[in-house]
Formats: sequence, C-alpha cells, structure tokens
Amino acid sequence: MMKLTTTNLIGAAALMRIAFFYYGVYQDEHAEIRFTDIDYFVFTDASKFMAQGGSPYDRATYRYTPILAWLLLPTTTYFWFGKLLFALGDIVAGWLMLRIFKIRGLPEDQALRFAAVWLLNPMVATISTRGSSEGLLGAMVIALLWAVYSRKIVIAGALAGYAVHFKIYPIIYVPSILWSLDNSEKILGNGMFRWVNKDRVKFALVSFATFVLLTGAMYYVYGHPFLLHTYLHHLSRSDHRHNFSPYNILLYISSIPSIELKSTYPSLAFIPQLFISGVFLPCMLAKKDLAKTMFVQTFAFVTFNKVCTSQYFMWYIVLLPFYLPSSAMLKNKWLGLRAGLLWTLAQALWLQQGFELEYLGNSTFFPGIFAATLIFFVVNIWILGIAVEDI
Amino acid sequence: MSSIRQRHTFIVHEQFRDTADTLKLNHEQLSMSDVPATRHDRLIIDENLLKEKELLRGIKRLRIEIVSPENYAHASPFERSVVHGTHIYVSANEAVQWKQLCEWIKSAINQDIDCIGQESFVELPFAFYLYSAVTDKRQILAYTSSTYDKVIGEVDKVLLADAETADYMSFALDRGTDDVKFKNKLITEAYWSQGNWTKTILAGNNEHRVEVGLLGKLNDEDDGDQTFGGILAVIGENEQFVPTLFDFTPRHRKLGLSATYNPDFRLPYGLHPKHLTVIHGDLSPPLKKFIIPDDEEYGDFAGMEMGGECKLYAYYTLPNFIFVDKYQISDLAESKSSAVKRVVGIWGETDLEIPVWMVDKWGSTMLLELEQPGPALVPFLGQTINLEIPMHSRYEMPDWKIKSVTHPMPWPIVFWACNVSSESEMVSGPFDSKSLGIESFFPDGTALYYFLPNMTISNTIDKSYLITNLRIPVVPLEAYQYVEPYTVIAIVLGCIWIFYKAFLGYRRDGGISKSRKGVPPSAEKNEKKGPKEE
Repeated sequence: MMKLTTTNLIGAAALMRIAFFYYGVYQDEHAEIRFTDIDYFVFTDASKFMAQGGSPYDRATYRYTPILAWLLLPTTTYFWFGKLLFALGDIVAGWLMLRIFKIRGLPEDQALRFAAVWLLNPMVATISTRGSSEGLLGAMVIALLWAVYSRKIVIAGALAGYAVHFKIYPIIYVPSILWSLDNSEKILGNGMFRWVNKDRVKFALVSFATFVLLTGAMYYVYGHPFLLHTYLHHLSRSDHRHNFSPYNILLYISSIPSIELKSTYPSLAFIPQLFISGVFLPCMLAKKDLAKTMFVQTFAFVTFNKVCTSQYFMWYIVLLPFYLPSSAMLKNKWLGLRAGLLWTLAQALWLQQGFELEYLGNSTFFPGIFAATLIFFVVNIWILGIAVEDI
Repeated sequence: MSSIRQRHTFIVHEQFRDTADTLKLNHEQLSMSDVPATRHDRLIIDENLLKEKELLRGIKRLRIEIVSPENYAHASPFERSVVHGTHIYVSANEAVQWKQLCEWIKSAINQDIDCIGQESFVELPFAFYLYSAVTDKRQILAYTSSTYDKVIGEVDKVLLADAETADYMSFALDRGTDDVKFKNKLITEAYWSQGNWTKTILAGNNEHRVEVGLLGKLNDEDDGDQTFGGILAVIGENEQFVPTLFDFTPRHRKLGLSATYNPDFRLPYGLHPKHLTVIHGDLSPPLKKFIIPDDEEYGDFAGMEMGGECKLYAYYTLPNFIFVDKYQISDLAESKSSAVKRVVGIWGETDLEIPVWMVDKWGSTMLLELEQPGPALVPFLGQTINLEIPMHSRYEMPDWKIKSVTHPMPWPIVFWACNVSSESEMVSGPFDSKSLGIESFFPDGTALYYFLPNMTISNTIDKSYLITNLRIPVVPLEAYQYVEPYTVIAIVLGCIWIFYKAFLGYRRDGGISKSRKGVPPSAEKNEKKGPKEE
C-alpha cells in the first residue's frame, strides 16, 4: 500500500484528472452523448468572440464575467486549455487545503485523508474535466481561506473581491471573515467601537475596492450586457428544469402570466437564505471556527436557494474537508453513512422524476418533482442542523 | 390597360372535348354546368383602387397566403407547395406602421392571429414574416366583400363566396417589380384542386376585363416544360371561344409518386423530442448539369451548359412552442453521420431558455441543405434519407385540470432547388407565381421540385392533414393550492430547525467565541479553528 504523502496525493489527483480528460476526449468522439459539458462550448465560443475583438456576450447563454473568457483565450489555440486550467484549479485548491490544515494544526496523515475527499473525489474530477468552471471557483475560495488563515489580509481582501465579482455568492464569506478577525490592533479605542481593528478595516477596504475595480472595469468595457448576464440574470432567473430547489414548482406556477396565481414568496426567498447564510450563521459560529462556518454557510446558501443544480454542490464540497475532522458524522459512523446515503437517494429520486418528465414526457411536476424537492430539502436541513450544532 | 383583370382557369383532366362542348358563351356571359375541373382564379386590381393606402405606405412588397391543411392535390401547373396556415410577408423600404398593420391583420384577416407589432414577425433575409396556423378564410372574405363592394361589383361577390372552399388563396402586392403587368397591382389568387363547377360568369367592361379559359395539359411529364391547350374567351369581347396552345417552363414542379417524405416526432415525446423525416424513393437529382462537348458537330450548342445543378433542402416552420438549438444544429451539419449538410439559416426566436408566454415572435423557421445520397446501388429500389432534427419544447402555459397540452406543427417542405439555364423562360408562363415565399431564398433562375407528402404512415389524428402533433407535459394548476403553502411551510420549518440547532450549540459552548466551556479536552481540541494569532 503506497504511503500517503503530499506528493503521492497530489500526483494521484493529477493522474486521475489526466485519465478522465483522455476518457472525455474518447467519449466525445465516439459516443452519442458528449462527455464535455455544454458550458465549456459556451466559454470557448465566448473566448473566440473576445479574441476577435468582440464581446463574450455575443455568445448566447454566456452568463459569467468577461474575466473567465479572458482566462480561456488560449483555448483559441489549444481547445482543451480550459479543462487543464480547471483541473489545475482543483489541484491548487487541494494543495492549499493541506497548507490550511497545517496552520490549523491537524496531523499530516489526517490532513491528507481529508484533503483526499476533495482531491480524489471522482465527482469533483469529472466536473472539472468536463469543462465546468466550478473547480476554479473552489480554488478561489480555498485561496481566500488560506490567505485569511495565514493572516495575509491584503491578499485575502483582493481574493474576496475577485471571488464576489466572479460569482456573487462568496459575499456571504465576508461577514464571517470580518467577524473572525479578532486579535488585531484596535483602531477606535476600547469603547463601543472596539471591534474596529486594523485587519478588519484592511480586509473590508481591499475587498470592496477590488470588487469595485473589477466590476467597474468590466462595465466600462462591456457595458450593460455585462451587468445583465453576469448578475441580473442570476437574480431573476426562474429555471424550473434540473432544479433541485424546493422553490422549483412554485416558481414555474407563479411565473405564468396569470393574476390569480401570483405568489409573493419567490421574491422573498432571498430573505431566509441571506439571513441564515450571511448573518445568522457567521454571527453564531465564525468566531468558533472559520472554515467550518464557511462550510455550513455555503451549505445553507445552496439549500435555501431558488435554483439548485448539481454544480452548486461543488461550492460546499470544497469546504467539506474542513468540516469532517472532529465532526459528529465521523465520530458516529452510522450517522455519517446515513447522511451520505439519504443525500444521494433524495437526489436519485428527483432525477428519476426528472427523467420521466424530460425524456418520457410525463407530467411528473406534481406531486413527483415537487415532493422530491421537498424531500431533498428536508434531508439537507437535517444534515445542516447536525453540522451547525456540531461547530 | 383595364384597372381590373379577372381570369378564371379551369383545368380539365379528361374528356376535354365533351366538357368544352357544354360551355355556353354569349355576349353577356359564360355559363357552365357540372364541370369537373381544377380551378384557378386570378384577380389583378390596380393599386389606386385599394382602400388601405395609409397602411401600405412604406411597404415595398406584401404577400398574404392562406393555405388549407389538407393534403390537397397540386395539379399542374400549380405544383407550388406551401406550408398550411396563414402567411404574411412584408418587405418594406420605409418605416412601416407595424402596430396598425397588426390591428388590420387581426380585424381584416383573422382575429385569432397573434400580432402585436414588428416584434411578432420573424426577419427573413428577404422580408418580415408572420405565420399562424389558422386557415379560416371567412373573415377575410367578408372584409374583402364589404370593403371592395363597389369596386368589384355584384358578380364577383358571388365568385368570392366560392373562395371559402379554396385550397389556397393569396394576395400579393409588388411595387418593386419591373414587370409592367404586375407592378403596383394587387394580385389575388385562389386555387381549388378539384370541384364540380356550375357557374355563370358575367361580362366585364372597359375597366374590368373578364377572361375564362378551359385548358388541358398536353404532355405527360411533371417535371419538364409543360404544354397546355384549350379554349379561351374574354367575356364581352369574344363572341366565340378562341383556341389556345402554349408551353412554358414552370418554376415549381413536383417529383411525382416516386419520391415522398413523411415526418413525425419519435416516441417517447419528452421535452426534447427528436423530429424524424423519412425521405424515400427515387432520390436522384431531377436535373444534372452537363456540358455539350465542344465539337463542331453540335453546331451552336457546342460547349453549352445544359440542365442544372440541384441541391436538396428541407424547410421547417416552427411555431413558438417548439424550437431548435442553433449550436446543436450546426454540430449536426459538421457531423458525418447526419443527413444535414449545411445550415442555410435559422430565423426567428431561438432563445434556449424563455418560456412560451415570453416569446413575442410567432416562432422560427429553418432552412437546411441536405446530403445528397450517391447513386442508388440497385436502381428501382429507391433510397432512404433519415433526417433527424433534435428539437426542444418551451416551458408551456399550464392550465386547470390538464396535465399536457398538444400543439400542431406543420409538415416541413422537402425539395430540390435547381438552377436552370434561363430565368426569362420561367417568367414567360401565365401561371408563374413569383412573389415572397420559399423561392425567395434562392436566386432568380432556380426551379423547385417538391417531394410529395406520404400520407399512408402519418399520425392517427387528422389523417389527411399535413400536421404533426406534439404533446407537451404541463403542471395542472390545481397543484398550486398545495405547492405554495407546502413550500412556505417547508422553508419556515427549515429555518426554525437551523435556529434551534444553532441555539443548542450556543448553549453547549456558553457563547459564540472560541473557548468551549465544559468540554473535556481531546486531541481535536488542539486544532486551531481560526486565523493565526497575531
């Protein structure tokens, strides 16, 4: 049995991704269903438009910052560069994870095992080698966490601003980080404002400035389409396909142009979501354990979101290795097993109903898909509850 | 030239002589009794007589067609195949009053047509195009008859009533043509593939020319030059019938029973149905290009190009409940295993995500060039092309008590487009119908050969109609009374549970900071939970 060392782990993760990559190339060529994600073609098309001097938004359904298309410009020469970049992002995330574990003082052999949950996770490797950009985001979040743990505040601020610009949701980490930054030189004395310290101010200013700079620059170059596709679309979208969220069917029904069936609840959905993931959980838990807090915040954000697709799971899986050590789910193996099983089965139930609808044309919207989304929601709340109590 | 020219053509398919003998012509009228014939009427009205001048300002070319959904016979020389429904083409050279145009369309043509403004139209390379599946002609006939009451007179009102049963009707206005016969004139056409006609057609006058012809086709082939002969009379002018014989090169031709096609959606339907068109029969191009050898013995013809080069096409009309992903279709064109050779164009609403109630346009159209099969391995056995197009249905409007909606999609049109030697030959014919339509996608001088619909294996609903029905699942609105409260309850209970669990942790640790009171030391306690100490 090979010894689990850092080199071996990183090496195995890399090999795994290389293998998946070549398998993907083979499947693309020879099978009817492509391995490569449709999103990858959206990104590369957008890069192509950009390379020709145009806007990435010329490509329909490109809903990201232009920076992503810019990062993928080399795909115009070597088409699979994007997949390499995303896979590399996975690996960098894993490596930084190990650095964070070291700072936290977790023994190396344990750290390697928990980091393997991410690095050797086939689901993670598949998502990156299929050309989905979630791995890159995971790298950004871990890098942010590492910077905070290493007390490199300016870098952390820049990374936070960058991550929020990329995908809105990392903004929930800002309150947590700010809340956790105790033990720094106080600026406004010991009275009412004793919480104002150097680190907090530095972090807040740098992250805000980075975000404004990046967003402003992109707006300056690409104008309104940038705001529309990167941000506004996500705030108003009401996809009810491939959507695990409990709001799924409610969104479908209330989006039709009929006065009697308008529901105000979908527009209020952000209230419980943002309150729990952005205010309540940071407040209650960030001072106890920042990394674990970020895990439950993300989990809550995804669970209460109006739209939830399988890519969103990556957002919290990247933080799962921090939660697992000393978690109730590992101390009680059956609990952990039950949680994993129920989470998977609830998804499988949804997928089965979804398959009936999309490929067999049966109206499984109600009760089928609706019940499946609620069941999945309940399972997630149960898991979230365990984790929250645990911290 | 008279400002109104009215022409009735009756094409008789057998016993021409006997039939011709039953017609009675005199100075005032022509009458016929029980004549079985294909009938084509054409009415050309000078633009001055039109009442919609304000509406037509800025419009360069206009065409309104109403086509029956039945698989009616396209007798020669009327082989032009048109998708069933109502088609409105508008080509403008100045700003058109689109809103007023839509209002007029709804009030004059058919109130069931969805039209709000320019956004309802699909922009084709040659015109703005509005399509609707409605085929009821009564509203437009009532409008025509009341608005043009004085212009066309009593006699024509009787003939207009016939139009209600016509298989095809068209109104075309072309201000851009060079042809003096048609420039700035409204051309109204109606076609009946068959009927037993008992009619009395009255004479016209100086301003209004009435002509009737009884013709028969004199050659057998469907796809070459056509020769017609028979008798004509301008009622009021001719005391007796005038014999006539003429031939012409038709622009539109049909391929005959040897080449047919049949489209349908593959089961199971799902939300991403695959549309399969099976094209079968003699798939060799109707024309081949060849060059006469450059040799003295061929005299003037030496070195000349003859025949034509043909390409195979399929034209889809997709109402907005269904659409294609243009990226997916271009992949098909690149794939070697697909029958699609090239995407000529996809026009209209191609958004991949919006629901059907947010689509302004009536839908989209798609023109594809298809791979031509090579020469048949065994002649006489026929070849087959399986043209499969992946389509997607839009999110549909749900309704009470129903779990699915069914929408009709018209059959695509499959045809060869061949460039023939000379355009001028084609327009010399008296039946050339060149106005806005599929022919506008091709350069002048292109002849179109249509595949015949194969009705023997069509879907079981509406057996004679050229329609494919698609069933799309929706949510029954009764669900709403459960969905809203249960969703809200689930969310609220979820929140409360999380608050409760956080409270338990808070109570156990005595607060929100790092120090855990009352917890026995263990190995994990040494793990640092937050950023490095300063």
